[in-house]
Formats: sequence, C-alpha cells, structure tokens
Amino acid sequence: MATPALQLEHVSKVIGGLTILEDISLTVQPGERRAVIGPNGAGKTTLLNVIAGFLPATRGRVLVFGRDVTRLPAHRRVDVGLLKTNQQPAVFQELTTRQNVLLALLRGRHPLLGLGGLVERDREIQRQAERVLEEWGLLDVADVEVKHLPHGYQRRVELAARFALRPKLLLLDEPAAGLAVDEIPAFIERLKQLPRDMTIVLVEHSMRVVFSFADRITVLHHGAVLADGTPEEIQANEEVQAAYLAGAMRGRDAGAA
Amino acid sequence: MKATALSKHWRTVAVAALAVFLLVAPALLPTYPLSVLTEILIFTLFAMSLNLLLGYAGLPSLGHSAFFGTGGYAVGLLAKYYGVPMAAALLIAIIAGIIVALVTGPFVLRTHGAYFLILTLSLTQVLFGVVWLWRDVTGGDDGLPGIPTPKIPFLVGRISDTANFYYLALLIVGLATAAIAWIVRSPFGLALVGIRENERYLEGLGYPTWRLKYVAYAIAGGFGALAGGLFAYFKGFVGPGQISWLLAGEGMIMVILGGAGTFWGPAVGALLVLLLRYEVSAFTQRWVMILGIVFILNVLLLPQGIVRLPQRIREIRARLRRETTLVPPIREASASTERSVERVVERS
Repeated sequence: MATPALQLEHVSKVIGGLTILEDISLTVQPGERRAVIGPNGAGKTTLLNVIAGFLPATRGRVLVFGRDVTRLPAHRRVDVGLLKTNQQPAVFQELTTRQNVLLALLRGRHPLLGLGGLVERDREIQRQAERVLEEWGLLDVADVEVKHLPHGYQRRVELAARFALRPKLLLLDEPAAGLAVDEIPAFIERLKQLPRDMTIVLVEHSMRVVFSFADRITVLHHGAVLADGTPEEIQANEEVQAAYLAGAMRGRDAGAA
Repeated sequence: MKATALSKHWRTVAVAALAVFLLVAPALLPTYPLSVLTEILIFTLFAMSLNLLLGYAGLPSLGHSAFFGTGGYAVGLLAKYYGVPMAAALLIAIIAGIIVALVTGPFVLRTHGAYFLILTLSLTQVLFGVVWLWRDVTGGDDGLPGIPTPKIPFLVGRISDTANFYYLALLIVGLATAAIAWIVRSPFGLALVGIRENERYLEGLGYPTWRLKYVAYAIAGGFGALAGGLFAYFKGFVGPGQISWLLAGEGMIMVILGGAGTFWGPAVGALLVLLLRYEVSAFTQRWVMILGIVFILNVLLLPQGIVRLPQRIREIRARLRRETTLVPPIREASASTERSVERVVERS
C-alpha cells in the first residue's frame, strides 16, 4: 500500500488543563476525501490546527506523506504540500484579490526572503497570477481590495491562493459556512472537480456537503474518535445516530427535499 | 483604466518636480529655510524607516529613537574622538543600529500591538539611561558637542557650507529612500503587509513570519541609525534628547499624519511636523498644542493619513450618493454574478 497522505498516531491536545483531543489515531490515503464531523466543541477545528501546525500536539505524532511533521512550524509544513483554509476565509483584507494570489505565488521565489526582486517586475509571476484569477473567475475583481468583496468571493480568493501553491494535502475548515443555501450545490460541484491527486480533509457541518463528497467519514465526539467509516457505515452506526446524527440527518433530509 | 494611467503619469510628474525642486533648492532658499529643509530630509528618512515597522508590518514601535540615538552616538564618538571620515562613520552607525535591532529583536518581537509598543518604549528608556549615566563616554546630559560637519570636497568654496551639507544629506537620504522604495515593492514588502493584515494567515501560506519581522526590524534599525548619524553631523552635536522616547513619539506622529503604510506618507508627515514646529514657534511657544490639534483633526477626518486624501474624498462622495451597500450572494458564473461584481467594483 502507498504511504498514507496523513497519519495521526495517538494525538492528544491539552489546553489549559482541558483535554480537547484525546488519543486520536487516523489514516487518510492519498487521493481520499475525508470528512470530519461532530457536534460543536468536539475538537474538529483544533484537530485541523494540530495537523496544520498552528497548535502543537501535546502528545502523539503527525505524519504527512510519511514525514514526521510533529515538530515543524506551520510554515514549514507547507513545504510538504499541506495547506489549510479557515472558517473565516484566510484572506488579507486590505490587499487586492491579485495581491492575495501574488502573495501565495511569490512564496520562496526570490532570494533574501523576497528582497531580491520586485513584484511588478516579475513578469512570469504576474502572468501566472492572471491565469489563476481567470481560472477562478476573479478577473473582474482582481484589483478590488478583498474587504469590499462578499463572503463567497472571499472564499474563492482564499481557495485560489491555496491552489496556486498546488497543495497535495488540503485541509478545509467549514468551507460551506457562510454560503447561501442556493450556493451550496455549485460549491459541492466545484469540490468534486478537484483533481484526485490531491488529498482532502474536510470539517463541515453541512451534511449535504459531507455525504455527497466524502469517501470516508470520521466522527469526533468530546475530542475522541467515535466512529470511522464509509458514509453508509456512518449512517447505519447507532452510536453516531444517538450522539449526533439524528438531529443533523433530519436537517439534511429537510434540506434535500 | 484611463484614470489609473493618468494618475500614474501624474505621480511620475510630481516626483520629477519634487526632485528638481530639491536639486535647485539651495539656489532658491536662504540659509535658514535651507537648514530646515535639511532637517526635513533627515526626518523623512527617520519616519520612512519607522513606517517599515509601523505602517507596513503593523508593528507599532515607540522605540525607534533608540536606533536614531545609536546612530547619533556612533557618529559622535567616531568623528569626535577618532576622526573617522564620514562615509565610514555612517556605515558603522548603520551597522550599530542593525546590531541593536538584532540583539533586542528576539525580546520585543515576541509581542504584538500595545505590548510591542511598551517593550520598544522600555528599550529606548534603557538606552536613554545608559547614555545619561555613562558620563565618561557619552558626556551624560551634556552630550557630545563639536562634531565636525562633513562637506562634499569639490563643492567647498563654491557654495555655502549649509548648501554643501544639504547636498550631502540629499544624496544619502535619496539613496536610502530608493532602497526603501525597493524594499516595499519587493515580495518581502508585500509579505510585511501580509503580516500586518494577519500574521497567521501568512504563516499558513508558508512564510516564515518571525524571520520576516526580525529582518524588517533590523532594516528599520539600520535606516533609523543612518538618519540619527546624519542628524548628529547636521547639529554638530549628539545628546540624550536624540535617544529620548519623545523623538520616537514624534516619528510616530509623522508617520500617522502623513499616512502609515504609504510610501510618501512619512515624508509628508515629516514636512508638516517640522514646518509646524518652525513656523508656529515663530509666534508662539505652544507649537506642540497646535500639532496636537492638527493631529486630532487628522485622526478624526483622515484616519489613514494625508496622502490618502484623494481616496477619502472619493469615499465620502460615494457615501453621499448613497450607493447600494448590500451585495447579493454570488452564484457560479451567471448574469447575476456579473451584475453583483460590477456593483462591487463601482463601490470600491
């Protein structure tokens, strides 16, 4: 079997004496779409932050494509192809859409921390940015400061910047949050079109997104893994039903109707 | 498109006009205004170097005078006691500023916002204390008077000494300003703005944010020390006043008045503060009070600085026209998307 894209080995996270994550182990195969679900406060976002390196794990190991990244700071984990999006789109509000994309493309490109070049003189990167903007339908707002854009656009800017860096493992933290209900189907389509050489771990409350997108689902409850399986297995799991899904599934059926 | 091309053009013309004026200023201005202009140049460099931290990286330093003073004392000691020529003394001043930044950086850069402000302030006070008490070397509160003024050799005798030093300052500040212009237009400069906007997001894009801040702090320290060194030559004197936090506060006011995070803002701020000081103090001692009123008005009416006045006027006019502020949610590439985009573009 190929090296897993992501492996967590007995990961725990304690913040101020409070155990947020307890002994979490999971394996995500390359190309897999994994959803992490659970009630509010189950530790889903914390889990993503531990994987991405924004929070250090208290115990346990994090491996990305076989490489132990447990002690690497967040910016070094980008080197192994790991990127993450935020609940609130991680965009730079005072910068234009173009500058947001440029910032991603320019990472590590010029010597001396970027002092060895000029943004506007780098024609090749300007062309690349233009392509990315076109691909994401952002050309019209290329030179608008992101703070003037509606939420859905900001999400697109965030994703465009992330994809410009060609992630191999992408962590999505509630990407559908803040989208209008009628925007969600198109959003699911977009997620499904992402290339299969990319591994995706998704935290999401919208069951429509989760069940139409994920290959496997991990259910977190009180910071521990309650269940792990295919969407069908999870739906059939009585423990999950009791803990969480009952209410959420009703919501999904209502939404689908 | 046309409007942006026009404004770009306008900007080039303005910069060229400014350059011409600065070059012929000694022929136009009597001695006293020329020395005020020299001081404005030096403080422009000081404010621009602070702007790298305060405006671009979003690090509100209230200790930038530590570098100014370090540069000043480096020049004072070297020129007075060792007769070191100007170029070498200024170079050593820059290096001294960078070293102070590299040593103190790990302590102050652990913090953000108000804590950063307080730590940089304390740092300045520590250096102030050292300078004040170490009488044998620094002259204590008497400072070091009698620093010989350097001159451009081939101009001696042809123009006044004031004009001579003015050109020297213009050359050095011009070179430093060009270097700062490069820095803020480089990917490094863009990354600094990313840190200001959200350091964590930038880290998430794979940028070593701490290292970026550390280097920016050292660069700002080097330029701050260069300004301080020039000022010591200009006054022929260096004293504890040049390291005092009051000077750091004045620098901060210059940057915010003119426009933090804009390239020319600090220059405008330095011009305004020094003109106020010298013009207003001609008929009242209370120029600081006037400065305070100007500052308050500025923060209320033009919170982003004087150089953003045109943008501000556009904003206010747009508000008066009561354009729609709500943008409907977007859909994937459809006619309605384009409409909403247009509206967004209009609004901005």
